[in-house]
Amino acid sequence: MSLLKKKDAPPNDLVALEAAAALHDKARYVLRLYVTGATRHSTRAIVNIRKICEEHLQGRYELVIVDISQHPTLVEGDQIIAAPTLIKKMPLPPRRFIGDMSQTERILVGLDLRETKN
Amino acid sequence: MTPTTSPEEQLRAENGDLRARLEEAEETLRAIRSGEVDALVVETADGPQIFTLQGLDAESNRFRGEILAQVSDAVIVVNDEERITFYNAAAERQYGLRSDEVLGHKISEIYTRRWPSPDAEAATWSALRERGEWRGETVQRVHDGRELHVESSWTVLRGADTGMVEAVRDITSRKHTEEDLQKGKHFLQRITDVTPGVIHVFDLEKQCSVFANHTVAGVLGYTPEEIAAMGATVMPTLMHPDDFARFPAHVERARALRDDEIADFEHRMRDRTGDWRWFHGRDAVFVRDTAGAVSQLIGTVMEITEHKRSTEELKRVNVLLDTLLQTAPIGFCFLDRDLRFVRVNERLAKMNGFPAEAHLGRHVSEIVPTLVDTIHGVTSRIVATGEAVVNYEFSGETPAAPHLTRFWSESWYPVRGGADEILGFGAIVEDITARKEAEAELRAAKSLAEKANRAKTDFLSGMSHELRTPLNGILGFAQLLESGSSSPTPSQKRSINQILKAGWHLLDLINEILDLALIESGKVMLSLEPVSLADVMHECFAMIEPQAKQRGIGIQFPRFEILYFVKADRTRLKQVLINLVFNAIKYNKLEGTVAVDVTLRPPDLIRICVRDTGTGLAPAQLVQLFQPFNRLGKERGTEEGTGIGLVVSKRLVELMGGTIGADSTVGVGSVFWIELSLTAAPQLGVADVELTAPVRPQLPDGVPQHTLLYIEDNPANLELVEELIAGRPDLRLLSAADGELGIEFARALQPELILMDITLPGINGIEAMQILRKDPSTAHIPVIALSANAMPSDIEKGMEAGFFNYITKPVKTNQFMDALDQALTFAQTSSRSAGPGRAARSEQIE
Repeated sequence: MSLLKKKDAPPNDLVALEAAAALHDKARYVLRLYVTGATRHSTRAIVNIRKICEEHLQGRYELVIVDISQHPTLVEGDQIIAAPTLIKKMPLPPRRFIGDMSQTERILVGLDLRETKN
Repeated sequence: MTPTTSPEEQLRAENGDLRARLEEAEETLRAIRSGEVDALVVETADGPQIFTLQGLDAESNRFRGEILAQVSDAVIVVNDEERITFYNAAAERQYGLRSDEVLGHKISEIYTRRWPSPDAEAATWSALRERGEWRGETVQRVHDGRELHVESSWTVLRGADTGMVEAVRDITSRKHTEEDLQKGKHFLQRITDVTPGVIHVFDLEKQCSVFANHTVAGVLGYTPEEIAAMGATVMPTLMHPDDFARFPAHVERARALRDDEIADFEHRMRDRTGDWRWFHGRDAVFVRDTAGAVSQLIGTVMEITEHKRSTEELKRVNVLLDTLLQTAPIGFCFLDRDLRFVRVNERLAKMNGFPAEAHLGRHVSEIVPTLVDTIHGVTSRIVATGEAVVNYEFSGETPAAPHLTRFWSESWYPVRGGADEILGFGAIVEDITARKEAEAELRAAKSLAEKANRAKTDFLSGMSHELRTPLNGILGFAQLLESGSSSPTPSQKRSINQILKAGWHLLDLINEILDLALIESGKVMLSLEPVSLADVMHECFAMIEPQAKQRGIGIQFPRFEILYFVKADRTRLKQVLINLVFNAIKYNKLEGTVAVDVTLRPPDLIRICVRDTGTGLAPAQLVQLFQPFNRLGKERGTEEGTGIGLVVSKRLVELMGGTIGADSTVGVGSVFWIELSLTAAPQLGVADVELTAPVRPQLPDGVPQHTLLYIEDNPANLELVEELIAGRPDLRLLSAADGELGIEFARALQPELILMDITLPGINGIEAMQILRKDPSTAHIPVIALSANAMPSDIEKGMEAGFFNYITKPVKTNQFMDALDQALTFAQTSSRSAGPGRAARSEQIE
């Protein structure tokens, strides 16, 4: 039903399907969190994201934490500019978040785990 | 179906895309500006470079980070939601999870905690609340199933980032070691507690017990804890002062011990109730200090109270035994199996003639060489039989008295060891030399006395015989004179009477003396037959009555309704009764009485009492009654007596199996009694016997007769024969009451025929016959045996001995007469042949 309520874009099949699925709690998330070791923001980012994943994506997420201070070359795949950065790789479309991930609501919206009030 | 997108749609999509990317770029910029990023990535010629934006304490942070990375303890920081915000390398190793796997997760996903008790957990939280820190041990159940014992230190973080830091040390292996150690300890404790002896560890420096097993509680009544609490006072408090005085010496010995050596110490300890008990302690080295000196001893303590008591008791008994051995009035010794002295008491040592110590270890041959063989014999017997030899007589010499043969009564017994084998010999020795000498003397004296007695008897017999022979001649010829063919004148008759009276008396005396001698020498022979008391009584009465009348003494004899028979020798019984009655008459008062009565004494005895009314006898005199030649003061009296009568009576009664005795009351009178065994009536072939006068030769007048001499002591038999002969006017009967008298008569009177009873007092019929046959003056006279011994062997014996004929009792009249006739015929024919000698004799008589 809510599908029909969406007015933004006409259903581009895969995207819309995934977005719709996300709303129906069936999509599988693949997330990557780029951090720099045990620094303050990085640590907080890890904690916050973990929390979000456990609370909202229980059993259907894959979170990979990449410590770019140990492995700097891994930034290239996702064009990382700064750390901490969270990349949502799946479901499409990819999304990017920067910071210590403490704005839980914004992130949830960004991850299509909340309805917007546009 | 392929989506057909219009240019408008494409534009819109691109728009949306662009917008999104723009938003992201704006966001990135914002984040950077607001310092929400930690690092920037810069593309350089060498590849991407990371620039961290940490500020001034970046260096120190990194330093801290490096330190934390290297500490061996796992360090985990959690925020207020218990999510992990920091996780070091040690934690990665400990829990097997990487930092990136763990960060942000709740700590409970790595492990869960367990406290030893709910109280411990509560203590932890309250400590954290109050002090903000806590250190302690918990158990962690790790995600992979492992259980770790950990020592954790928790610190509450305050400041910008709140939460808690936990430093965790895995002490599992240490805990396991501790548990093993604890198990080992328990195991050891169990061993020590179960051991029946007390085990303790004594510290030499502190002089106290650092360990004691629980057995000590059962033994002394103090728990190990109480013992430990006594500290250094334990020994002086519990140990007996005398033993505590020796304790330091024991400690010194212990200090000098090698590791494999043991020091023993017997001591007394006081238990909780205050009683003293004996213990045997054995200590060994337990711990040495760094210098190698003994620092602690481990020891076992065994209670030996009972054992000690037994030993004391044994010692006491030994001392007692020793005293006994030394003071007893006989000799003791112990020899070993090789006959060497092991123990010897003073007495035996003295008997042997060496000091006691000198005996020990020496062989018997060195101490008492003359007794060695006997000792060998006795000990060999003991070994062979396994039994003691009791009261064995030893004789020999000992060095104590080298040339004196002494006698000992010795008892030897085996001394056995544990397995019952003979270890040695014990001997009890009593010197009996004195006793033996006394015995020898006694025997010598006895033999001497017997010899004297026999000599006396032989003398008496000989003398009696010498006296009787002429006496018999006197009597015989006097009798002949009295009853000869030419009657004597009255005055001659008076003279003859005197001769006869004197002669008879003398004969009586001599007979009595001979009797006594014979009885004393045991040569008298009694023929015990059933004897009618009534008959004997009658005969006595007849004999005694004249005497009684003469003295004016009244006599009372019993009347017999029932015929009693006693087992006795008839002649001798009469002799005894006459003796008693005659004494009662003689020693009576004027006009006194003598009463004879008979009483039964069940079950099978009869008592004949002779009561007189004489002066009586005092107890002192009664005692002397039955002694020979003791006339109790009557020697100077008017009455004649030999003093032998009662002794003879006593002996005769006793030989008949009876008893004799006397009772008396001074002034009233005396009772003399004899007791004999009753018996059944005999088989007499003769009816009631008529009482007749005493045996004297009877010679009827006129008719030429043949003289038959009957030698017989039993009047009953005599009566019978007299009756039988009464029917033969051609025979006149002479009789003699014993063999010797008969022989004299035969010699003197030369009968044609002799009838001989076999059982006679004095010499028996066979002997008498043999004497007659040997004697030339009487050899021709046929002698017929007349006897109750009717066995063929008796008859044969008699005939072989030389009897002319043998007639058995009871007598058959015809047989008897025929035998007589036969013998007479023989006599006449032989007298004719012996003519001259005989005729000469007859003339002499005339």
